[in-house]
Amino acid sequence: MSEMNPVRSLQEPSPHVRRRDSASIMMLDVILALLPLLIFSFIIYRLDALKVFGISIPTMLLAEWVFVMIKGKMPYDGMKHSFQEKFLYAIKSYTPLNALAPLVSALIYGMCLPASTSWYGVFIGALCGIVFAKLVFGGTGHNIFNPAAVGMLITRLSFSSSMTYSPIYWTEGTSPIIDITTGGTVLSGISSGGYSSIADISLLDLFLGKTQGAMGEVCKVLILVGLLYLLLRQAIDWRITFTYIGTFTALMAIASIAIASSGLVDNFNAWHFIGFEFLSGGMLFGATFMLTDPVTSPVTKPGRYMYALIAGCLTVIIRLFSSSPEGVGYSILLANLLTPALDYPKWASSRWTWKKALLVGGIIFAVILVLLLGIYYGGKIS
Amino acid sequence: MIAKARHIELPAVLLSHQELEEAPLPLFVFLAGTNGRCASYTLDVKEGDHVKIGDKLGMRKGPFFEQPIISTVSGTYLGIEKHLHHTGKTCDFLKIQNDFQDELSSLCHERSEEEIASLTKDDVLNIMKDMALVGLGGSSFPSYVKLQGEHDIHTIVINGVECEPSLASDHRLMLEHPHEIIEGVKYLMKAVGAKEGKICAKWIYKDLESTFSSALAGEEGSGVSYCQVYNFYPQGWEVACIKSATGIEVESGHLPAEYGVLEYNVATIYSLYLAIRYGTPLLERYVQIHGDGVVNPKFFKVRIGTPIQDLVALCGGYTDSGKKKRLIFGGPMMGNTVNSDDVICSPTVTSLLVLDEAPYKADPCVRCGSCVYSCPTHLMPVLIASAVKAGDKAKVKSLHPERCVECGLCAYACTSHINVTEFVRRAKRIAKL
Repeated sequence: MSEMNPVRSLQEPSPHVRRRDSASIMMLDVILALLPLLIFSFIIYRLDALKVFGISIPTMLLAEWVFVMIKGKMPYDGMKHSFQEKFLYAIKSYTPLNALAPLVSALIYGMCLPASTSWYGVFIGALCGIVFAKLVFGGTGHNIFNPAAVGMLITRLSFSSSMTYSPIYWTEGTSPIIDITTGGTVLSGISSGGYSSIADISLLDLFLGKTQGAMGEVCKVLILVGLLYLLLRQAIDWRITFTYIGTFTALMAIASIAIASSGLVDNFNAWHFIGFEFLSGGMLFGATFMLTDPVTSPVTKPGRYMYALIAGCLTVIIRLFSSSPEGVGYSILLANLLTPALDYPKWASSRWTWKKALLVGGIIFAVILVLLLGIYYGGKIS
Repeated sequence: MIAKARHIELPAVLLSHQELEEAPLPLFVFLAGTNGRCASYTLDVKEGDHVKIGDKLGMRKGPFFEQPIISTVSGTYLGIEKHLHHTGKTCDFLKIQNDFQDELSSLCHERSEEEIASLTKDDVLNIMKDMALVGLGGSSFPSYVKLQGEHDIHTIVINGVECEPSLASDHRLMLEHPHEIIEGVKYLMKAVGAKEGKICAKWIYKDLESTFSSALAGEEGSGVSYCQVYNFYPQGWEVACIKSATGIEVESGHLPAEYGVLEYNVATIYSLYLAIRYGTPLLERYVQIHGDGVVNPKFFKVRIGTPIQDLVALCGGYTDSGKKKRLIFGGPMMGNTVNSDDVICSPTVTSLLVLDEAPYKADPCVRCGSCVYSCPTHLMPVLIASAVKAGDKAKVKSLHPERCVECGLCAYACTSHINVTEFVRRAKRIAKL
């Protein structure tokens, strides 16, 4: 036998191969899916879009960077280190994911805001969103709440007086659909003015984005393009998106039948009502980009179905019966809150059990009951 | 990617070499005294004794069983040397100088058809014990233990699936020895009274399908059949293979025998055939030396007891890439690394995969759920990993890590490149405490 060069061996636990994939690639996919919406909002809102994204993106990136610097503190080893050494040590723990995750959050957060939001509103919402919803929990992968949703709600609730859901440029000259001075979206129209105020809104306009609303949420066709891309790339779980949209549509259909049969509303067109609810507000955007955030959703299949189901039910109930016109943000946060419960090891399982099926049946039954009672006796719907 | 992992994609450099070469007989053959399962042994030979193929040189002592050490070569016994077992343990090996005569011991006696026809289940069990037959799928668990139960067996499943990517040893064995395997199945079926024997292999092996359809011609009444199973990983896992072959789902914590099924690896059946028909031990196995760390990957027919270094030298040695090498025994998914190449080919060695080091940087878990979707035993690896990190023993136990088969799919599928499987292994140890 000839002599071989000796081998320098390395021991590591199996498996020795990995799928060609990474969390950063998933984040990049989301950014790519958001790109058409981003271009759309820059075309329509121009400098306003630049203001919102120009503030939200640096704020979130910087907050994450400061967090990484604090977290990457050098462990105490009894020696004195210069600031430069400490800085270089800390910066080593900055990974691509530390840049991409806040970028995704900032983009989604910006899309959820109307273009007219004041600059300090955008800044405070972004900062509160990333710090209180993500960084205090330990950064990427540890947060309970969706940072974009938290930031959006803080801004929308605290700075609503400075917001006007300004009409888009291509409707300039034509009469605005809703009185702009009230500063509402089409959804707040139905909330304050009843069905009659939205009865003549064209569904096609809603689908193409010829309406007022938050920057990224208005153009449904581009959201669907992004959704298709994400589904093809398997960057999101279709179970969550489709369950959420399905629950929402089915419950809205039940509600519209109930409204039509109750005779409370004059000239009620059930098809138009379902289509209007489906195409207005942030429902599709939330279903595609916010609810599907893997960090804040459960990890098992039954858990994900139940999570999306609960979020869908909450959205419908909040939209129909609460004083807030838009229920997507709240329902996403409430569903996020249920994630640890759905993942609790004692009852979480990766397969369906009879108990889980019963629970789902119970939820659906209870929500339908609430819907019917609320519509017949609540007196909110007009 | 939030998706179940079912196929293992390998880089093209790792795809295996399929042409067979006969490795020259080694000058010295090493037989394991102790091994991964047996911690002690007794010897019946002295240094300088002449031994023949099939001679019993001593007894290995396991936790609850004993098995003879059987020579796979004829020559002179030289003494004990320390080498590595492929599991990474340092073990005592009996060194035998080969005289290249391949004389058969008088202990090996050929059985006639009539003798074989009169063998009972206990006889087969004793042959398995005497010839030290072990599970050659990799477990090296004594084969006779499976026969000891009192359950009625209706089906024998022969596992030739070899689901790990790039492995081809069982495939080669089935191509070369279809008749022997079929005979072995028939012996075992007769012994346990089974009505069906199913030889399972992946459907992508069209050459096996034609080989076995011609080999099984005229065997219609025997109950032996060739069964094509899916090409998923881990299809070769006992439970998955039985499910694909018979439709029976073996619950975790139960034996296949409780469902009337016995499952053996094809190589085990081949060695059983040799033991019953000719009374000889298994002498040769097909061993792959492959991966991007060796110069010329090759596929050898190897006498058991050959040092793996000889085979690597035949492949032209290791590549000179300046990187550290991972010496992996088994496939890329479940194989274990050893810290030196001073390893002896035991019967369960079928592949040495030499890979250049390729470190994966772990990101924080984003809870994508791919590990939960991929787990063939329906565990929740991400929750197990977080419970292990938190040191929560009660939580770890409630997640049943003991069901894990360590297939490695959770780590393979992990979008954050975390070695989830290692966390689950740790959880298994925590749960046992």
